[in-house]
Amino acid sequence: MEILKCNGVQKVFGKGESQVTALNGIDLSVEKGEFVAIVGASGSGKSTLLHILGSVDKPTSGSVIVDGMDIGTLNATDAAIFRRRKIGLIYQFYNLIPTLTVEKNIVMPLLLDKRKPEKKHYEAIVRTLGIQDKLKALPHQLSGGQQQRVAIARAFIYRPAILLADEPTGNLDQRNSKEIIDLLQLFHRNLKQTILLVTHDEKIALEADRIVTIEDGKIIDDQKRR
Amino acid sequence: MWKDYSKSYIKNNRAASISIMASALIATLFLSLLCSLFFNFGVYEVERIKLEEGDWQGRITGNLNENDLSVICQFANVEKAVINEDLSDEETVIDVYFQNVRTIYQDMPQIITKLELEESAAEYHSLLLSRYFINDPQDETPPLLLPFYAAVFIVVSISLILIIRNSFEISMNARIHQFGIFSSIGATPKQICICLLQEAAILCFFPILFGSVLGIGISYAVIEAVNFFAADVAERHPAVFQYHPVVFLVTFLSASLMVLFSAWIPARKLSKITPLEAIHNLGDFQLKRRKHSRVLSWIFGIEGELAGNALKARKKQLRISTISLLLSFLGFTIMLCFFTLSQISTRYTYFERYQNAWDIMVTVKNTKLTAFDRTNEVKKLSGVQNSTLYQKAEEISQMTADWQSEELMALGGIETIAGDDIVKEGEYYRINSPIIIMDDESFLEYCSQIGASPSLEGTIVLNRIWDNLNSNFRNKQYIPFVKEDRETVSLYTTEQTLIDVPILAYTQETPVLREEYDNYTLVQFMPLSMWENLSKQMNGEETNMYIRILAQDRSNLTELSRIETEVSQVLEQNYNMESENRIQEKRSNDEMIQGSQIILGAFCGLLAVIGIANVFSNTLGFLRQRKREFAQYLSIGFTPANMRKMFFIEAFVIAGRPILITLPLTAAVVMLMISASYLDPMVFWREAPVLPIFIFALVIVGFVSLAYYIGGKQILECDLNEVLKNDTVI
Repeated sequence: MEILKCNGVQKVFGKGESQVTALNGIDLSVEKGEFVAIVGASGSGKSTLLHILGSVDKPTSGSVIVDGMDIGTLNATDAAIFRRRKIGLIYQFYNLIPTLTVEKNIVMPLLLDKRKPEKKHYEAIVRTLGIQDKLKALPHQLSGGQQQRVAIARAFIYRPAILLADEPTGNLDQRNSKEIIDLLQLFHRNLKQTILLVTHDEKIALEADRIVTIEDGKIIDDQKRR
Repeated sequence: MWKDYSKSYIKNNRAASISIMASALIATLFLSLLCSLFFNFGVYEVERIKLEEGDWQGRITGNLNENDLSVICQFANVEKAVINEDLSDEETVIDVYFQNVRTIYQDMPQIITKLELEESAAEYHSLLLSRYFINDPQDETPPLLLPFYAAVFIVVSISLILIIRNSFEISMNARIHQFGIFSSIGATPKQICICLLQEAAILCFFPILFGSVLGIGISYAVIEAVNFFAADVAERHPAVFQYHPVVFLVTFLSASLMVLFSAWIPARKLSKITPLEAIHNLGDFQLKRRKHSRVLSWIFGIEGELAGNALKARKKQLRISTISLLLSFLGFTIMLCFFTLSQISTRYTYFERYQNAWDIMVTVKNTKLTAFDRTNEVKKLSGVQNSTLYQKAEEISQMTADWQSEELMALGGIETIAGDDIVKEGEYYRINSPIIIMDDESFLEYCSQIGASPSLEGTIVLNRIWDNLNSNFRNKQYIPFVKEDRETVSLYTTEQTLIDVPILAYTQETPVLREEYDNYTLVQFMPLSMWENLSKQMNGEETNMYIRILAQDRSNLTELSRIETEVSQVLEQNYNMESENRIQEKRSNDEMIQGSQIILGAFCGLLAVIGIANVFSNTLGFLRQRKREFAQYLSIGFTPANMRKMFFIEAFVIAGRPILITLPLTAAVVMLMISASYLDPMVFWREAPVLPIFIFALVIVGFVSLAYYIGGKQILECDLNEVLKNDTVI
């Protein structure tokens, strides 16, 4: 079942002489439960693509269908609700709210919907991520690896249709990087979670089912590994 | 979001919250103070006008009777109509009061029509009505005092909104990144906006309440201060502090709206930026264009350039401090210089000029000198060296062109000197001729003073005119007005016929009176007995008469007060009078100036507080961004000494700019005022308010330095590694 479809997605920044085409006609289809790695050199457009897929940015032209919804047509409010319920985003620099406890950071997408977390689901996530004893801490009291686990927990709390991870290990050491990738693998296997992972690290990309290579805003290679 | 996010944000960011609360408190205090003062001013004005001119709203004059009175009362909007016994003489005067005074300009013409009277029979208390914001729709120049104050009130309110808004903007700019994260995990723009408005409402509720109450307290103190300083001002009735719950409600609601609006502007802006923009924003200040701080760079080197660029990048955030500090210092300096100049001028033109002309001045109201019957008692007062009873009359004399003095003709004649102040009728000029009618005894003394034969059968002509071509108003030089070859002067009677009055003498010396004579007029001094004969044909007498007293002991306030009391005892029973005491008036004048200086100085002080508070909120509110900025400098080899130098330069620029702008501006304004008032610059310089200006500047410099010291200390104490790698420092 197709969960994501991009048709001729183009993204242009700037105007006139300073105009830069970050994405130039991206066509991409992702099946439900796939683990896709998007690789490319710095400035190739892979993060721009991820931001468009996560509806934090809009394409200049083309369409992006996620779970049957054309997210390019959503207004700011609908896009926010869509992100909240359908997308899990993980960044390189964690992006946790510094003044909220770990627990509040994790459940924030639910609180925005005035909902309470399902106890079993919540406990399973924090246990799996190994942060059950850090729930009352503030982000700055955690190590980088722990902060990224909190970010992953937050991304999973709403059971998103797609999990988008933008260089999630870029700020971590080797041991923590491996742990984070193992965790993503675990969620992918056990929950059949669709994951799109942006990385420039080929070793990490090899953990995915499929590797999409981007160069100068175009997909130049798309290989299924499994 | 309030419960989940804002509460913990406020708890963890006390400095930012305090900055917002302080802004709300200061702004509400100002607003409340203004509302209360505006309300009291309005009430006082109405009371004053009612006391001085009566509380009537409309007035009808004509041949009216009781029947007409009942006709007026039958009008639905008429509350009451009463016959004004004091003013009713040959014609009856009826004062009309309305239930809804707003329709007075529609109702009165209807009443007049009903009474079959001319339109001119209706009179409106336009001054009183204007204080209720009711103006005659036909009047093209209605009194605009209250609308003017209302406009000032609105402008000040907008400035206050800007102050609070700036504070919110500082707080919100520091959180763009956080709201970007929120947005990326699904917070809608509306949720973010509501969250910020909730925060604003909760943070500012108590400051608004407290500010409102404090504003009322300060306005009470201001009114009491004004009463204290103006206690000796003649004819002034003291203001009684008043307040109304509606004023409080208006203040509170306006302040609340002001806060919500101030929060809404940046909140809306924040909710509109895309999550990607917000996430990428770490709040670092960027220069929009490449700029060089040439002067700072030249004086202080690379630290000067970096400090200059940092200030330029935060130009918008520092706008309130820049404007407030500049206005407060400029206002304070110019105010002090203005008062100093004004004091010098008043001393020269009033106190020193008339030092020997009077000790006690009595104004006997609504009394003609011809009808005054206490002259002997006044003349016999103990401790009095000399007293003169006089009255002024505005008359017109006729002058032929050939009567002009040769000196005046040499300058081009009366028309060159007086311009439009004289009227030419064919061969003749109509010259304003103020007549000073003196009691006979004083007039005879004046005759002796100028060396004329004592006589009560004529007038003495003050034969002088200001040579405005060769002298300024401060050092007037006079030339003879007319040739001293005529024995009579022709005065116009009420019927515009001419009457010749014998001239006893021409003189350029005035009697010892506290009088300023109008320019280009042919002033005459006339004995009372002479005027008694003329007054049947002339009616230019002013309504009041005066008594000028010189005491034997002229330097003793107690003695002057005693004489003043004695005069009152003689006159008060039969006359409505007011008296002034030279020494007391000098003291009152000094106190009034001192009071005005305190009130205006306090206002400048409050402006400075706003500016300094803004400097504090900028130095403490942007700690995270500045930590990052300075960590970057440290990482490339800047030493703490370099950093301290940068802080010093920034503080120097913020505190120094208002001083550097003010001093030349003040010098220019003062020079302009000095040349306009023809004062000797050295006289001003000897009394220039250098010390208070220096102290005010020192206070500004001191507080700005303190803000930078506290902020700088926190920045220099941070861990370089943590700041450079961590974005969770807020």
